[in-house]
Formats: sequence, structure tokens, C-alpha cells
Amino acid sequence: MSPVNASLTLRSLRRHPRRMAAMIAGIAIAIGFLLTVDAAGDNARRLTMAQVKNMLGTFDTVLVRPGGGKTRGMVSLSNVPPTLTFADAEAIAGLPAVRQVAELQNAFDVDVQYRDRQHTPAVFGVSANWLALRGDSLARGQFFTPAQLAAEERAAVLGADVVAALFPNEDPLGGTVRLGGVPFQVQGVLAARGAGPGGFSLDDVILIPVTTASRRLFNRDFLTMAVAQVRAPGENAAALAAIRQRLRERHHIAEAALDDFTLTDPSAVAAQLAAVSGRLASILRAAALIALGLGAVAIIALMVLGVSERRAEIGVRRAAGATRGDILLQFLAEAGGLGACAVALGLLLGAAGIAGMAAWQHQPARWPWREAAALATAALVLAVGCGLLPAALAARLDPVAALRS
Amino acid sequence: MIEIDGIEKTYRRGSGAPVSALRGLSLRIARGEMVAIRGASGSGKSSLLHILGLLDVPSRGRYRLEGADVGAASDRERSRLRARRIGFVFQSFHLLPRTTALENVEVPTRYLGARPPQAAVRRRAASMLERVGLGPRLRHYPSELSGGEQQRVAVARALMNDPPLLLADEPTGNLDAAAGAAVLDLLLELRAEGRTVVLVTHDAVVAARAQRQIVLRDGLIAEEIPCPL
Repeated sequence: MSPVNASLTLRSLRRHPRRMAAMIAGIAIAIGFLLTVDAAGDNARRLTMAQVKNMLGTFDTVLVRPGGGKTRGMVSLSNVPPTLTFADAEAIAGLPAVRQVAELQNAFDVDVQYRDRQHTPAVFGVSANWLALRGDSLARGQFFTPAQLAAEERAAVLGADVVAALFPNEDPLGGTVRLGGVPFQVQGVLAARGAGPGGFSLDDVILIPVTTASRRLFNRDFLTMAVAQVRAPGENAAALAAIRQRLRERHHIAEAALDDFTLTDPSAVAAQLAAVSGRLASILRAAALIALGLGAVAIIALMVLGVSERRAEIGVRRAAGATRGDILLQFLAEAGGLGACAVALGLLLGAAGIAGMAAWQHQPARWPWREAAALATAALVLAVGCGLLPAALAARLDPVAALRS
Repeated sequence: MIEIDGIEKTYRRGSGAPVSALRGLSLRIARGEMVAIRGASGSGKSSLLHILGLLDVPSRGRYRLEGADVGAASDRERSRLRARRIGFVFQSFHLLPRTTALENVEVPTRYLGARPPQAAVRRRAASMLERVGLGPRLRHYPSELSGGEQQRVAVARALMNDPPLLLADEPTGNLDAAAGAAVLDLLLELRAEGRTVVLVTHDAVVAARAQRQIVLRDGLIAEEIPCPL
């Protein structure tokens, strides 16, 4: 039982090449667009997440910064109010939802000297758990021990950029650098981390013990940031709520008053950053849907035209024994054939788009097999659906009337 | 082969008065007969042919084809009978464009229900085309064939499923005298093979070559002329 023949189906499609192009263009463009846009968005999201993760080390944290809603962007000792204390950090560390808290006291305006060379990196006073909490590692040397923190030792760990600036031809380990005139002994070098969001270097940094920073360098007893590591990965929101409650109690903030601190869930920030690139994607996606709609209308209109042009053929087939169902099937198969051509072209366009985007975004090309399969299926269903009206018109045609043409 | 009794066909065109094309026509056609149906346009000869070919249903009356009552058959049943028992030849050939003679001849096998293997179909189509004298033109397209050749392809197509009944609607109407005569000779040969041939024509010369002529007027048989030979 085969009223449908693939080669005859294709031939009847080839009969009008321009019409065929008009029928498959919409669906093909839509598929190509959607694959390209999604690949570009996916690349952008990965890039952003990778940069944010590079800066923060891990997403399973809540960032605690002093100051209410006005705190934005990079904090430092010169631009935050003195409301976040070491005692606050300890209290947060005591919460059940929090595994540990790293303390940070940072400044961007400290001159660092080695012999006659000078450089102004970011200076981070950090607690002894900083390195482990972030998942960072040292290229060489040792990180600060709790004993060094307790002793407020003048010890330093250098980022790769600082080594390059101050020790271009020398071994930095054991060397003495001066931070604002105060001597610190270099005991380690951080593994290079590359770029953070926006592309600035994360290696232009000097780490010193936060206790030393507080009492022997900056003479400030408040923190610029505390990084609370969440005990259960992914449960950032619950930890964030617990930290908020604890800090509001400690800071005696009245029920109606605003927080005097800012809590940030880094995974939410990364998602926000990724969403910015998603806006353009949604415009392009809308364009793809419009192309899809136009393609559907073109298929319906041109197939209806084709049915009226092929009345004699329909009449002959009916006379040769075709049932209405056979005619319906034949035209549905032609619509399916159109859909298959559109899918093939669309996938080619999509592959080209994905490869192009990958090259442009300096990302490896990822092939979204599942999405492509879903789009192909949907396009085939759409094409056959568009064929329903013309196929029904063809099947309902009275054979006598069809043969009279 | 064909028994019709009291066949009426009434058309309703828009909101106008119904038009009667056939008014209680009765006719017997025996197996192996060749019958020409003549008449002026509007006499009902096309309506009669469409009803005989199961392309249309009578408004009233009885139609028995090979002994079976087909007056109330479903679309599916009538389609099955058209595929297996009836071959059609049309005035304007109605070949599929951009489709070779062979492939045109193969079309009716699609509607046989169980389709024979493609190789067998191709062999049979080629032998049918040889049968009508087009052996060297199997892979020509209709646009590359003369009118007479196209009509012979159409005859080969009508023979593809080996039907006992051939219906031809003005088969020579679009052909010059020589080509028309060749097609008519072919139909006579097929009748000689034992097929029943019913031919609609307004050409008295063509009709005269049939065994029997039936002249319609106003939806009724006005005259029956037996073959002079």
C-alpha cells in the first residue's frame, strides 16, 4: 500500500524551484536562527559564569559587604562604612547553614615597592582560610597559617602580575616588599587566574594576613567583605536569609529599617549578567518565530495554489483508483518532503551559525543535538500541519470536476 | 459486463433550477463489446461515462458492474473497482508533466492496494508501452511526445492494471486524423483481446467503427445503431 512515492514527491516539489524556495525559506531560516542564537547565548553565559567563578572561586558562597543598598561594585576600605566587624564574621561563621567565613580587608591605593621598583596592585588582607575557601592554589611557597594570623606577621603572597612587575628577573620568595613603607616578607606566589568579569586581571594582587592588615598597615578594625561558604551547596538562599537575620539582630536594626549591609548570592549575579546577553537573543528568537510563521503561511498558500494547478493530476489519480485518503496522504507527504528539505537547509544554516559564533566568541563549538532534533521534529510537524488544508482541499475535489479542467 | 436501469442524474448548480443530465436511461453492454456513445454536447454522454466509470454516482437508478450492484458503493469501494476493473483514456491525455512515459504508466499500480515489486511494475509498464508501439520512447517526457504518442501513453496507463473495461472520453478529439486513427486501431485491438470498450465521441466516423452506436439526446437513448460490418 503505497500511494506515496518519494522520488515522485520530490519531483513534484522540484517542478517550481522558486516556489519551493519560498516554501522552505521561512522554516529553514527559523531553525538556523534559533540554533545560532541559542549557541551564542550559551557561549556568552558560559563565558560570564566562568569569569565570575574565576573571580569568586566558588558559587557556593554568600558575599557580605558593609553598607546598605548604596554599595555597588568593588568595595575597598576607602568606600565602605565601618559597620562589618570581625565579630560579625565570627557570628556568621557560627550559623548552622554556614561552613566557614573568610575575612577580607582590601585597598587599591597602597604603593608596593621592591628595591627601586614600584607597583600599585590590589592589597587583600585575608584570613588563613581564604585560599582553601576559594579553591585557589599557590604556584610556589606557603600560604598563611592561623599561627601567622594570630601573630600578625608581616608576610605576603604575590599574584602573578605583581611578580612580573616587581621581580622580573628574580626569585620573589624570601624577598622583602614594602607596602606603604611597611616591610613584608614574600612567602608564596599565587597560581595565575586570568581575567574576571569585564576582563580585568585577577593576578594583580598582594595577599597579607587580615590581622596584620587591620592592626599594622591600615589601622582599621572593620572588614570590607566577609565571604560565607554555604554548608549545603546550592542552598545559598537559605543561608542568605539566616545571615540577614543574624546581622540585623547584631546591628539592632528596627523592623521597618533597611539593612546596613549588602548580601550577594554570586550565582544570582552571574545569572543576571548572563541575562543581559539574553535580551538580544530574545529579539532574534522573536524574529525566528516570525520567519517560521511566514514560512507556514507560504507553505499553505503555495500548496493551495499547487492543488488548484494540479486538478487534472488529482482527477487522473482518482480515476486510476486513488481514494480520497490516498490523495490526502500524497499531499501530506509533499508537505513532509518540504519540511524535510527545510529542516536539512535549516540545520546547515544552524551549523554554520554555531561554528561562526564559536569562532567569534573564542569558544569551542558545541553541537546542540537535542535542540536540533527537537527543532527538526517541530518543523516537520509544522510543515505537515500546513499541508493539512491543501491536502484536504485536494482530497475533497470531485474527480469529475477535476478532470474537466 | 454493464447493466444500468433507469439511471437519472440531476445536477444542482448554485441556486438555479436543477438540471437533468440523464433521465431514466437503461443500457446493457456485454463483455467484449465495443460501444460508441454519441450525442451533441449536453446530451448527457459525459455524465453517463462518469457514472459508468464510478467517478460519479447516479441520482437514481441501478448500476450493476460485472454482476455486482455498485450504485451504493462507498468511495473506497468505488476507488478499488476503478483501480482494478476500469481503465480511463481522456481527450486531453492528462499525463503528469515532467514525468517520463514509464513513470506515467506506472501510476495506477500505486492504487492496487498491495503494490507489486518495483522491478515487476517497471517491466509491465515497459511492455505496455511496447504494446502501444512506444517501445523506443520509454524515458521521454510528455513534452517530447506528439499528441498521438501521448494518447498512446495514456492507453498504456489505462491498461497497466489489466482492467476488463476501458472507458474513453473523446480519445481522438485532440488528435489529427492519422493519429486519431492509430489510437482507434489500438482500441479495436484491445477489444479484440476481449476487453470491453466504451467510447464517447461526437465524431460519426469514429463511432462508426464501433460494434454498436448509442446516440443520446436530452439524457435518453434516442437511437441504437448496430455495426454495419
